[in-house]
Amino acid sequence: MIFFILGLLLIYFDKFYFIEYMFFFFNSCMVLYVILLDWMSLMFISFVFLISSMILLYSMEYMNYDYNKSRFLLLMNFFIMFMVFLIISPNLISILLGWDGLGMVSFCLVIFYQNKKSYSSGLVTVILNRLGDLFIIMSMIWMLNFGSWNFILINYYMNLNYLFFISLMIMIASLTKSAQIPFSSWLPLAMAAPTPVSSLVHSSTLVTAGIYLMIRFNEIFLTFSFLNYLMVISCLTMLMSGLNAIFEFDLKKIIAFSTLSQMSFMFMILCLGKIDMCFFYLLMHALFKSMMFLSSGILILNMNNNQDIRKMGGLIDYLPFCGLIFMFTLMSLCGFPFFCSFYSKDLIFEYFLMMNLNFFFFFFFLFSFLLTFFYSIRVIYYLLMMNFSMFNYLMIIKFESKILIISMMFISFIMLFFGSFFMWLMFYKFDLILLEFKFKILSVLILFFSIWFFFELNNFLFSMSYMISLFNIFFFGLMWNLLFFKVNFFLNNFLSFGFFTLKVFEIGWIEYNFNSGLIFFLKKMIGFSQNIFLNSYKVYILLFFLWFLIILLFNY
Amino acid sequence: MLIIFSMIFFSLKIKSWWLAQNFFFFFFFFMYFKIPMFNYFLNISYLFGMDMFSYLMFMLGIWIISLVYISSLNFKNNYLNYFNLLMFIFIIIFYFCFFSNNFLLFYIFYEINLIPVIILIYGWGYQYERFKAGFYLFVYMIFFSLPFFFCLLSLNNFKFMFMYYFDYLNNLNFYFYLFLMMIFLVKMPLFMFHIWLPKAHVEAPICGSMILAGIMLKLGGFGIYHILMLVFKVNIMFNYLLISLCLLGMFILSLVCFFQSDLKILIAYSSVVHMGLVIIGFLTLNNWGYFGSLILMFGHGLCSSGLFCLSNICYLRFKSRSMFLNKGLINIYPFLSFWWFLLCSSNMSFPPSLNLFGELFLLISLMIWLDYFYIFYLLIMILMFLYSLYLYLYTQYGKLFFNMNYLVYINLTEYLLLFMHWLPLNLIFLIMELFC
Repeated sequence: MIFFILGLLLIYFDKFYFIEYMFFFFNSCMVLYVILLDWMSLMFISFVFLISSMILLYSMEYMNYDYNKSRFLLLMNFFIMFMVFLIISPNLISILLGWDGLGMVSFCLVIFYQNKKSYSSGLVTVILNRLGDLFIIMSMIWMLNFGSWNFILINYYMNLNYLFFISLMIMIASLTKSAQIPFSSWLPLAMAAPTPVSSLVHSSTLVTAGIYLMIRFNEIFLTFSFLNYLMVISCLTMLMSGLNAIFEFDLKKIIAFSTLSQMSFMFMILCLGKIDMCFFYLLMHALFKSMMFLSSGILILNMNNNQDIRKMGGLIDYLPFCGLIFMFTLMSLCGFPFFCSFYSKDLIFEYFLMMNLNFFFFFFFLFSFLLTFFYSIRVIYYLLMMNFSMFNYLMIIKFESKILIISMMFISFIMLFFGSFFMWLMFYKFDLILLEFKFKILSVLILFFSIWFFFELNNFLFSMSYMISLFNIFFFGLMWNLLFFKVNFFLNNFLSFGFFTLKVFEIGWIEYNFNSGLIFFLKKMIGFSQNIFLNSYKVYILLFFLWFLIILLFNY
Repeated sequence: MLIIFSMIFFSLKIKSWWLAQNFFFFFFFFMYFKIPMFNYFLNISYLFGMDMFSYLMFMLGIWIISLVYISSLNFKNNYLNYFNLLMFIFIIIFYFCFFSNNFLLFYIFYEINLIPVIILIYGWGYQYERFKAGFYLFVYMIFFSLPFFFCLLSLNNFKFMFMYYFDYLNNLNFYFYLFLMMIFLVKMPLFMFHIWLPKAHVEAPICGSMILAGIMLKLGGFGIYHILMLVFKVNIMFNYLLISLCLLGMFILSLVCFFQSDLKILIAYSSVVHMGLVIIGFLTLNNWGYFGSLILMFGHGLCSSGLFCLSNICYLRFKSRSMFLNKGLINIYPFLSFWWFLLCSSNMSFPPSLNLFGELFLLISLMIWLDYFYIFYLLIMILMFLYSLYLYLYTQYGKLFFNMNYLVYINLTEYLLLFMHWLPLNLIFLIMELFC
């Protein structure tokens, strides 16, 4: 809360604080630890602390019966600490601390349940995150040319040739962290973590770190032309994740795909140059996404660790409060009027329509909007409206304990009422928006259209499922074949080469030539010299004659 | 110095384990008062003198040897007097190696250094194969020592006997360069001359492998640094050979790490990879590389000896170093698993550790040397990350091997030992002015 009030003060006075701690000064390069406190970082920290405190309260109940809950608490605290390190520092060296730490601790949290599935998905997560670290390190090396790692001050140096490389590297790093299209396979796999962890990861910490970095360094990125390519990437990711969410039956994976589509939505806003709006949507997204995961966690707990949405249904009668909050979050995900993300999403939508973009982007934008509505209605249908399946009848525990409800109540209150508040806070300068009437009501139209579309298409999908199932599973269901970034990929390519080198080099010709060969040679030599000194009369005579010959020949 | 010499004669009489340990520990802090906070020469006399490099390495040596006493508590009743004597001899050899001005003196003690290591491996080692391992070690070291000696003598001028002489030699050819460097490159070790290292590590007791990884490998780096001063002109022509060999070797060895079933061999191979980085840093011949190698050597000395300690702790409980038996440790020793994580993450250059700063400096130096070479290096970095992760995961997760010995709990001394390794490794970044 203190951070929140400080953030308000800093907005009010339009100030920021810049604190430097110098590690060392070497070859005219300063290695600094920089802390930048402005309204953006303080506001984000306050949201991280708010959400994480509620999640820790929640996990007090959720992880109550786990044997290793102290380890869980420790890891969560480390995770939040590294996120704060990342948020407050605009220097690349101090960013690397938070960035690397987030990857490693998230890995430890993903493999918290010790089974084979979480193990392999944790490996994929950490390898792709480490790839992002390497890109940050690469940009750090290039930044040596400027003699400083303060990325935020770099537009004073303005050597565009180097700056292009650097910002490209940073962009790729943030793509890995935010799981955009070439690197998006880790996000649904990371669902092997406990539910509070994935709530924290998806709402305000790990996944949002990439987009936060992009927001922080927007001044440099907006000068370059690769933002167009970034926009294409984000469009494709949005489409891919929307389609995947439709074909997925795992509740947590559906929510993960919705996070993915919202992240790419944020990237899209960023590419259009609306930085403040992107940040606003980031905060709102953090609120409702954390709530979504928490309520799905209660569902999973009650369904006796069953995550398949086909086996749920009719839950509104049995878990009314949890179902209500889930409904609210999905509605705010869709941008339903007067929910928290309505204020950002609708505004962005209108900006988008006003901009002069080509049909490709327009189509993708609208289609992914429709998909968002579509999968959220699908989840609501499966969870709350469908008939109560007999499968669950034996399993349901009806367990909404007080701690869970209190922790969810608090954020849902903020989620419902603070959207407008933040909009009035952050956008005190309004822009004029001119739209036709039919464009203005387009978003609402899409909403109703998608509801109709869903109920029509639902029958269609199930009747035709055998026809399109192959295409479904191998293309849409498996994330457009992006899952080749699995462990098998590394196993097949690198490790087979490694085994080859082991056989050829280590126990192959290095061992033979340098060890066996050398030792064999030495043994032979020793044997030879021993033969000489066996006190054999013949050898002595021979040596004597040799010696005599040498003396004769070289006797000048 | 007088204290050490006097302690040698008493060392056979010392019956207390902790007295010796405390002696080394306090000796470290006595030395700490003499810290030279700049990178020039200090305390120069006719034969001895020191700069920051030699000072730091010597401090590392004392620190490691004081930790050796904590680590090998099970040798307490195993010829304690001779063990004490050996440790004092080690300290004296390191003193002469690091602080000597004279190349000949340095060379002699560099070679003498082998004898206590061999005694340590033969005397306190476990398996019968230790004789073969010791033989490997000895042959590799001796094989390149004689050419070096003759090269040194054939320089034929007494002014080159001084290590800190900054005059570059013009009339050296490739063979001079090779023979002068090779003795140290074998010790480092360079790829293709590294076979002795895993063998020696496996057969050595914990104290032996700690000293080997902690300080012995650093002697090679120290020597290379001084040789580079002498053969500066030739270096520029031929360094590319060694650098590319190192890069290739690091790539291959980091892949080889994935196929090791022995904890100690894996750690040994990882230390070979790290030493490859150090060689690259020296051979790029710039300031970033030099300080990066210095930082990485210091960090690696602490980190890898800490990992050896961890493997030894597991060995004492499970009576095996196999990765197939040391599994699922997080279920029985959760706090030890925390230390595994910290030291493995330092090994994979996790941010606050010294290894990260070293690797960053070395990357920069490599980029200065040749523009796009660092991409190979990044590939190696991700492989280094992966094998450290592999080490952590295979030991900590998975099914537990049911052996009665895990009922033996971890002592507080062992936690202290790991803490002493980890603390300087992750806090020295606050006083990085020490290195540069």
